[in-house]
Amino acid sequence: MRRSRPRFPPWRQNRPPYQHSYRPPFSQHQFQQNQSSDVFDFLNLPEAFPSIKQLFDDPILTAIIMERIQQITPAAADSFALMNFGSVIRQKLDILVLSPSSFTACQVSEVRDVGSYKHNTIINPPIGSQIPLTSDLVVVLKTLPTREAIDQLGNRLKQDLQNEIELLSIRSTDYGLSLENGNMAVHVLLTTLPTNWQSLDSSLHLDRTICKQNFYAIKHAKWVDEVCIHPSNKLLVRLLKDLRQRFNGLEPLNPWLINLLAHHCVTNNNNSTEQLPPSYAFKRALQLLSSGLFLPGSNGLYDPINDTYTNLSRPKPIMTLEEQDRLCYTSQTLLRALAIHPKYVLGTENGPDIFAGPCELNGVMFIANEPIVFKDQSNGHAIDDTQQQAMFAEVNS
Amino acid sequence: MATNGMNYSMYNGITYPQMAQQQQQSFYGQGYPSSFSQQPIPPYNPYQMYAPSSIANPSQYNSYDHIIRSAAETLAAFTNPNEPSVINTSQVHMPASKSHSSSTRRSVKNFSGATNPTRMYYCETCRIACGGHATYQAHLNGSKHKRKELVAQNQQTSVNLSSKTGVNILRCELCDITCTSSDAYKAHLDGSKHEKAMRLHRKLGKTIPSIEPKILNPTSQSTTISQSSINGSQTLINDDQQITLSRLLENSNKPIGEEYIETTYDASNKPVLYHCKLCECTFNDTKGKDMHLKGKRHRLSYKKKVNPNFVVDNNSSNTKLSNSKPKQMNNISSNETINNIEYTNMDNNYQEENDDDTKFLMMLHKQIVPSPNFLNIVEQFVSAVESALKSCSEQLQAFTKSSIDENPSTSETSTNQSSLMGVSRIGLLGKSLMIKTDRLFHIVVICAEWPTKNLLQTIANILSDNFDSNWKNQIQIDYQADKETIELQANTEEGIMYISILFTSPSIQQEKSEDKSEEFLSKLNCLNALYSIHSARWFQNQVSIRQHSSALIRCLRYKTSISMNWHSLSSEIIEILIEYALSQNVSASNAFRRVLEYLSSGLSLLNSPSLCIPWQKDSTKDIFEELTNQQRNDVTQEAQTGLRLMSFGQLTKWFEQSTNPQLMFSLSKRPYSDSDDNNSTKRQCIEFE
Repeated sequence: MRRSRPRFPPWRQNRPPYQHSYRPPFSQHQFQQNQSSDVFDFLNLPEAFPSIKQLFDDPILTAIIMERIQQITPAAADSFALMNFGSVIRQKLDILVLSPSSFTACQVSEVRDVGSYKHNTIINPPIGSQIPLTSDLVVVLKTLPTREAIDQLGNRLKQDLQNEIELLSIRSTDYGLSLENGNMAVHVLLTTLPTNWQSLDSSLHLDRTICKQNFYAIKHAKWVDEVCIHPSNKLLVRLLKDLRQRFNGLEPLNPWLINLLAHHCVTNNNNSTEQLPPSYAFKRALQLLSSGLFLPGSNGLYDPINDTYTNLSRPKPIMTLEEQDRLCYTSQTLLRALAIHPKYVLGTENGPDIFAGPCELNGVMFIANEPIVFKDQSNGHAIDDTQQQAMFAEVNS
Repeated sequence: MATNGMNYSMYNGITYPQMAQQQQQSFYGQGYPSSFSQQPIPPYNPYQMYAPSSIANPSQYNSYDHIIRSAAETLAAFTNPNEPSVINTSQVHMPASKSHSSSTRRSVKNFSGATNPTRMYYCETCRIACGGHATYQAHLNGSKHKRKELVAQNQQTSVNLSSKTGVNILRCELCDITCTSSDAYKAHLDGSKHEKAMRLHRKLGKTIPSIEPKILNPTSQSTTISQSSINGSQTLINDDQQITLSRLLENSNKPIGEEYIETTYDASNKPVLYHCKLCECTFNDTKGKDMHLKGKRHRLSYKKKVNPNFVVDNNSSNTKLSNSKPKQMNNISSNETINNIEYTNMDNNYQEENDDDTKFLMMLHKQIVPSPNFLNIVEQFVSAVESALKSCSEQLQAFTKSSIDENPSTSETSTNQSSLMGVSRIGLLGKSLMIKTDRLFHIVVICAEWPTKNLLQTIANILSDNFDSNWKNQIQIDYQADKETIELQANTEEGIMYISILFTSPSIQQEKSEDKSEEFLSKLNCLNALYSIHSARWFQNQVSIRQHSSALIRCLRYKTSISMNWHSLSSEIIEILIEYALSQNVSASNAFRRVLEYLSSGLSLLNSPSLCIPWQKDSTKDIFEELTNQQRNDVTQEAQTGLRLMSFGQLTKWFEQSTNPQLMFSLSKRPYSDSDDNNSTKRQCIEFE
């Protein structure tokens, strides 16, 4: 059964079409209605912005980056073990695709590798943490992903794997299944065919947004596989992932955005085909984030899968306002710190926690930027008139 | 026949059902006598099967798009050569076309026909070419063609009466298109349709009618029996109708209200979208935007929303209104008098912008712009100093008793080889960027040769005698030996004002040596003074002509005066950044945001590719050179906060932030480098009240 979509979004029903006086209180849409443009990018304005130094390669920063890359890249043995683990599971799943009659709980349509392991951008988990190295698989079901079906699939995999590898635990998560083997894990992301999305019910099945997300992961993986091939690009993805791992504020930057950003920074070089070296691209990524790439009023990055700009994606904005602000102020702070103490930002040297409070960094008094939008704040920007009056009174005095 | 029918429908009916229908018609039209072709309903069942909607009126599909045309060619290729309906390639005149076409229609052989087996069929009435015979036939049977033919026949006998009298109708002979205005006509001439027709006609070797429009004015066509004589509009003289194209172009309106067009840029900073704020409409290309700016609708809304005195003529093609157009150029007159009007104009410009940020900036600007009274006092003070310096120079001249030769300089200039050549206002005075809190102004005395300390001393001594009596009592003169300036201090109604007089000479640039000797002024100070003169000149030529520039700079300068973090940001840096931002044709609030983006992305940080100074093309001096590491960091931080506040619609907070006592407290605790003193001569110092 097809549900017909309402012709107007809920907030426009029962409302005369487009009155100018009407403005939604304080929402994502208010910003999106405003004209938005691309943020300032030094590389795109060579002649309009005569710079003095052409800092394409920064030897000091390059050395630090290389050192850090050594530290965060997993050892060959680990990566080999993970590959083995993943391929065994993949084999078992492939059997389900080939002989659907042997398993009745659900029907598997296809199995695909996605994620950082596939793209060779996997990094070591932070030292001391219990997070294992993971590789990801997307399993597309022909049937609906009910909780029971997922559990059955888990049991089936457990049986099949019993004799072959040591499997410590298998548990169902909100995205599918997670199979762990001591220090490594395989995440099985479950989804279903797009035709089934309409009939998903979150009380019975996996959540619809998660299903969509997992399905898009396939498309994203394809794009990354095809386009992001330059080593500089892979390096930058690793660096950004490492940065995100160490600084909580960068959390809103999900893996897909990291890939997009890295690709943009490395390849979008003012219409030239030359790819930028990692030292410059890394700085550029932070510069773009700092000048408000994901803030309201900016277009954001072009998303080739959705064929739109990330900040303009209508149905669901990629970040909440609070996340936009958090991402922005964190990268702004990091950008400033990078100019003063690059080793600290890249993590090759320990330093004071710059986000904890004012501290001294290489002889400079350093204060982290403060958030201006808070989670519970819904309409904080509305400055009432009295406040404005008071401000002007001060100016006049 | 039936099998053929199957074939065709396979090719057409599956993907393009309506096309199949169209083709049926043409196909049968070819195969049967002309009388038959008038009946479009196919007698064969297979067609009905494949085109179940064939009851639909064929006139529905009168538009001939390329898909249909190409399908028609396929059709022709699949026709069995033995059938009577086959198109013989050597056949030029088809019976079907003859049967119900007038002499205006014929198929023409392509010029390149000898080498190219495909021929060109040309329909005179509709002025289109068909790729193949089948297409041509299909066209002849189409309702569009029939309608045109009917119109063409009517036109022979009667005048087109549908047009309103009194309105000029321009007709493009080539494309047979009538336009009601010269703008529309021009747009047509530029358009692809006209170009295509031109190309086709050239290819076919036909004569191309001149692009001079044919004016179809019913009133002027006295030969016809039209009833226009009843109207009073016959006063028009026939000669007036001889409008040439050049005249049309010249007469067209000037675009107005360009400042209400908001432009969106894509990644490579090419404009992709224009939005007219007055009329609430968008355009994708510059041409459309320009057309709109000249259009009547736009002019009417301009009149309604912006300037009620604006005259909108009914007949927009004959208007000349460059005089009535209000122009608010912020041109600073070069005669260096402070233009009071200019200050007030600045915020008028803002009133039309609608978004909150612009409104706020406008409001802020109103608050920080100095009052006319203040400007008057400053002007009086400065001109008193200037005239005093002039008489000083005359006095010096008398001392030295050197020969007087004429020197073509400014009015303040006194001519003497050994002493003062002229006076120039620099900094805030020269650029008219004052805000309310400014109390210190700078002027430069240009000397013929490298000024000596002795000269300064002498001038400082005799200066007070040269003031006229009104000012003599109010002014204190102080010779600052260490800074090599003369400081003047005056008590006025608006509080104490300071003027600092610097000395320099153009000859210093040529000198190779560092510092001559003790008795001369230091080279650095003199060069800095010269640098300020260049900066003021650059500002007057490049920045002040841009709309909103001065107002935005004043707002940012106000920020430097209230924020400790931005205290080190000199006016020059702000001017340069604003200039870059405005050079991309963005609106005021966008330019403001751009400046914040520049600084947020670490432009001032140590490891960034910094900026050249635009008025010193050859030098490699960096505009951020003067800043310490700490200051660079602070400047960036403040801009970053500002950018985020602006993005979230809280720009007001940024301007009030530093007056927040708690924040001031935390800021004042920080160790601050004492390099401020070194900078103060270069920077346009802001004195707090």
